[in-house]
Amino acid sequence: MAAKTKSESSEALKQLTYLAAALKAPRITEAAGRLADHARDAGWTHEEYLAAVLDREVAARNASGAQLRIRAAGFGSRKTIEEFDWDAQPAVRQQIAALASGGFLTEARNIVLLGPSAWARRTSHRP
Amino acid sequence: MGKTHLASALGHTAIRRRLIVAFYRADKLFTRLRGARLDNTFEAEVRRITGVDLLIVDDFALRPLDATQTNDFYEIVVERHRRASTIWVSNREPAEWLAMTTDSLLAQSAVDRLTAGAHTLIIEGPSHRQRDRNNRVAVDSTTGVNDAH
Repeated sequence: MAAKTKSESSEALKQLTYLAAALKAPRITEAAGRLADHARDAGWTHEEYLAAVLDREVAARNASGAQLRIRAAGFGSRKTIEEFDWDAQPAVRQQIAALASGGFLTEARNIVLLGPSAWARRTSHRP
Repeated sequence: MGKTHLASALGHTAIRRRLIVAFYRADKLFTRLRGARLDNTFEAEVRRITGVDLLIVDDFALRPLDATQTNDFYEIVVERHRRASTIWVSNREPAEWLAMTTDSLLAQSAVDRLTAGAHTLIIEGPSHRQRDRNNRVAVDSTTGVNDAH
């Protein structure tokens, strides 16, 4: 009986592989197989299992989409706001935190960032 | 972390909001537009540059803008005005940008638009933390450009 269940589920996984490829969502195959045993053990409902499988695909897509957008943006620096040296800029700390919440983007407001250029800083250190 | 880093970091927060961001150094941006004029793809290039959700222009007005660049500056500002955010990174205040352009009337019009409702942040360099508004001009003079005012 157990053997039959096993062959049935492997048959279903084969079909999943085909369907996932047709959907161009290859991670579904991997997540479906990996989460199936866990779902059975944890007694997930069908809905919970399906949501968990699709969630992996969506998370992966979002992550790779973010990577693509980061590459396309051509940033001058890879640093994120969390890596900002707050102690070095106490005067603008609150302003930056407010900007990081992204309100300026929805309001289509501009930001003017002023300060000495890196070149000016470097040359001002020269003897 | 300097102002370029901060601009990039703000760009990363926009990425997380699933927005399309473009970061350009001002000189490279103008070079792109100049090239696009030569092969008649200017309109498409302007759309590509100004069509993003967040545009970041780094090192703006570091060097004087010629007539074409002044026009392109105006074009970019008008295209994005009240439609999408732009982060302008500069070692000079917007009022000083006018003297860096060939057409201060056109530039004034652009500056008025881009500073309307804008957030302005002054990022201190590591060696100039105590600097105030008055001696920023003195710092700018280290770049070898004399201020007209």
